[in-house]
Amino acid sequence: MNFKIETVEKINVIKGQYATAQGCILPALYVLEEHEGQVTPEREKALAHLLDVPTYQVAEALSFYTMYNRHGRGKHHFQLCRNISCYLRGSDEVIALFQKRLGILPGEVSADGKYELELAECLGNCDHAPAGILGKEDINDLNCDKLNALLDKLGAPHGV
Amino acid sequence: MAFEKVLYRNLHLERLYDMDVYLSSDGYHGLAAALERKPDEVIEEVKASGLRGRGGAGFPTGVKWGFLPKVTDKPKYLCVNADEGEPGTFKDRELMEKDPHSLLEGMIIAGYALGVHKAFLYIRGEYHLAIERCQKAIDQLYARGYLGSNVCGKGFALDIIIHKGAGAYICGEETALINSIEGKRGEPRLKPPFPATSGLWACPTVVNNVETLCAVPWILAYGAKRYREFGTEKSPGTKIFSVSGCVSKPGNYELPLGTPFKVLLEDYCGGVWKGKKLKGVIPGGSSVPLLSAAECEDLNLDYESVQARGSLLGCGAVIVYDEDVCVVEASLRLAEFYAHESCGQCAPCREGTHWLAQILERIEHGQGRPEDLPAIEALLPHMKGMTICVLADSAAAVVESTLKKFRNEYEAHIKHKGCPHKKEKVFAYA
Ligand SMILES: Cc1cc2nc3c(=O)[nH]c(=O)nc-3n(C[C@H](O)[C@H](O)[C@H](O)COP(=O)(O)O)c2cc1C
Ligand code: SF4
Ligand code: FES
Repeated sequence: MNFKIETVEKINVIKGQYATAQGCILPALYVLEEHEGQVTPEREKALAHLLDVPTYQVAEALSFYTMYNRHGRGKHHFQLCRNISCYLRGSDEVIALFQKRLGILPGEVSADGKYELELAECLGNCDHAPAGILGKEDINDLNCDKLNALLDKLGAPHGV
Repeated sequence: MAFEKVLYRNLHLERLYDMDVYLSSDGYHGLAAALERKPDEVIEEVKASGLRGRGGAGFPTGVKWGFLPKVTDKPKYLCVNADEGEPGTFKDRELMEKDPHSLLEGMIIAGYALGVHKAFLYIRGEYHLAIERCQKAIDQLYARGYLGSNVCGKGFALDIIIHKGAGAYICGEETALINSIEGKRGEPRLKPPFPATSGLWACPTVVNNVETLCAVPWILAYGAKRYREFGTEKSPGTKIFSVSGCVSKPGNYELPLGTPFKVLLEDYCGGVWKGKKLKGVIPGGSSVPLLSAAECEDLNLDYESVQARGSLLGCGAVIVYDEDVCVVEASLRLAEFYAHESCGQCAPCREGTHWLAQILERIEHGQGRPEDLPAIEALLPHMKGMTICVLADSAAAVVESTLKKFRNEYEAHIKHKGCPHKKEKVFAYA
């Protein structure tokens, strides 16, 4: 398979920055995700070929680093923090509410493909606990009312 | 308590992330001062300041810089640790979002002092705004000749590359961070060799935290002597305390090291949330032992004082528990985190963190057995000092300290078959 020109150009810049081809794998995966989309097995192989690294090196990186999009994402990707500082300020109630409204468990995408819930470890936003991220935007100082309002705005169902 | 703000000196300025705004204050004065001196003299100034690493270990920065070989036929590297994954920590994020040029100025000074021509800024992947602001600031620096082949016309070359993390707490450990930049699994390496001799691509490498480097421009601009006017003899300077949990005003507060905990809690954070009583405090990020309210009564927040109380100042993330917090459930939350983040190389960590989480889960949810507490106590010593990195020790720390200080709560869970604070499990796991 062939990548878009911009993908290849960006990956070429990366090649000049890292001392080894293996070093390019993680930044190149981000480029791939941005310009091509989901990291499919075909794209994984094509990337190994482009970087001239053994395919196992790309596979190994993907098995260790959790942030790459390998399985497709819900349209609205919610990451809700469950770690200590958020827990201390009521994250569990907020997470429970999300689950109740959308009827999905952490790691799942709703049947219509619109909502995805991921439980996050500390997002470095503990002064705004309970905290989360929607897509790339931080959601601060969550509580049940605020989450309800946010889900209403997105048109989420009231309980599944 | 008179002191000057070092790290937050310009934070009142709007759009400080813009180079022109930064320059309109004292921006790049530290770099100008550094470039007038020899690299060795810059290292000496940082040594004289007594600045200690703010990433957790508190190692003197100037001394670390001195370990890098002066003469070598290999390239030397600087890696900046902006992985900030320690639960309760959010200081590097604010610095990078609001004042990226302080960090970059510190990096250029370090690059000059160390003879480094390539620096990697490793930012955790979730920090979208920080990545964007730092990248824009780097672009400005290239455009104005502060980076590239001839930094400020002084004939030295420096490139800075942002390396975006991809979701692994363990990559905050410096050798795991190095492996991650090499494109490998983020597994810590056995030390020695230390990064100073064999780090990134087996070349001499310095790894520093964001906050550490943000203090460097000020030290060069205003002098080590003035830096030492704040803080204590052994913990000089100011530090950001990230306060979270049960306080009225969570947030980042820059204060001199040695500031009494009570001053931080009452005068800055507005006291315990909802007027409740204090139960305990984790003073240095989730990896350090919890201190009881009594132990915090006259505690000063500097490296030595916190250590003398049996905990650590770590990265300065202060997590506050009020009287109603269930220490068993809070410890379970952290135990699960460490079990999830263990890289799995060392058996005591791989197995121990999971056993801890399993036993605590059992106790919290009403299936605890009387022999569980002795089982935890038997397990903990095997997790300490036995592994490649200190993640296993960290996992043990909070459990061990709460079990020691609040054993009655653990016993009550076992005796009454459940958590006295909460009857049911609130949310389900996948
Ligand atoms: C499990 C683990 C996680 C760590 N996470 C971080 C981190 O997120 N940020 C950081 O600066 N240091 C972290 N450290 C400490 C680094 O290994 C290293 O000591 C630090 O980056 C050195 O910089 P400094 O001397 O400027 O503090 C971590 C250490 C361990 C063992
Ligand atoms: S202590 Fe744990 S996290 Fe650290 S290297 Fe060993 S297994 Fe990995
Ligand atoms: S614990 Fe939730 S953002 Fe830090």
